[in-house]
Amino acid sequence: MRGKKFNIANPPNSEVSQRFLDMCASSPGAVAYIQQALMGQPDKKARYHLIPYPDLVDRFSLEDLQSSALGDVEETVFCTLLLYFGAFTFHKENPTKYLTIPNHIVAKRFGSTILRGYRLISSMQNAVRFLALDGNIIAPLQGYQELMVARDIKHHGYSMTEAQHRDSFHIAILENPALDPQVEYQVTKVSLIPFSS
Amino acid sequence: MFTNYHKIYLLADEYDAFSNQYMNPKKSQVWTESDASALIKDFWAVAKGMIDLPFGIQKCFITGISPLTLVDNTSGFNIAVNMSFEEELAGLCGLNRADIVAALEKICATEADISRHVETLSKYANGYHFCHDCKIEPVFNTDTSLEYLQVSFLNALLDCSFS
Repeated sequence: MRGKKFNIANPPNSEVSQRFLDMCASSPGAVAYIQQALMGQPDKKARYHLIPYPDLVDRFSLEDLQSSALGDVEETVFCTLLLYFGAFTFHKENPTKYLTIPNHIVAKRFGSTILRGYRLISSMQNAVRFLALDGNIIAPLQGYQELMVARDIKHHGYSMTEAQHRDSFHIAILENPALDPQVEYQVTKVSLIPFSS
Repeated sequence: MFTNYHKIYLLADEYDAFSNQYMNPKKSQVWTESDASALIKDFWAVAKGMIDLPFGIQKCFITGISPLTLVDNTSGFNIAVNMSFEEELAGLCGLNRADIVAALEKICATEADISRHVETLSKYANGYHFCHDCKIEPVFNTDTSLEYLQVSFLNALLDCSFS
């Protein structure tokens, strides 16, 4: 009786319904938005990436969503739907221009949805743990290979740049909120440009 | 006979509950052809017809709408206005920081405890900014916050009882 626990990171009620999350995980357009949103801002001013929203859609049908899921039309419908279902909210500093993930619970649910959708959640938990323990990069890379293959159903899927692959690996696996990764060491990139006197 | 009667205020919660059960982008026909969809359309057509009656519906407030439900369900009720992101209603569905602190002041023994709980709730349950055209105070998720506060309250109570 004493010391009742409430895991606030995983509350029983869901701000975003599991059905909607599962639907998002099966739609590359939605996954792309989620992945983009999970990235932190480079300047660290915001915990999650800001998503520009020039034109939200007032109303659309499931047929429109179907086209968007297959990558046939502009993916703004998914952006709008993510907003209405509580996955995104208006950015508090610039609500007229940007959407963002509201808090850590939503971020974690998104992260786990991506991995669960591609049946990677348990294998990635181990892979990231072993990466931290002994530096074994093979298992996370194999997981990312599976992730790429599963998502590669859109037109021009092979035209992703190296930077996009790098970011995808970084966000979907290494910094996935569902895996609760911990930064062990601060790494500073060494500049090759000599200091000016 | 009807002098003491007023008009009806119709409140509809979780408007999209039915259609969400059918949400599947790979099978879009299921919802539009379902009996539930027809039933809901008919209901709102009847509600619209009652708006102008002497003792009918004066106002209607619907929560749980989405672009998917607006596209067809309200075709029989095309007099509604989408106010989801209007400033006047942006604080309606959530708790603000003052609400949280006021509750914690009744639970916690020290200012440090209050700060700790506020920090936790801010990370996990805050951040909902429901207004699209101006800056307002973001709100906390009500359900998560109340559950967290309830457990904190019970634990504080038990600490007192056992000390």
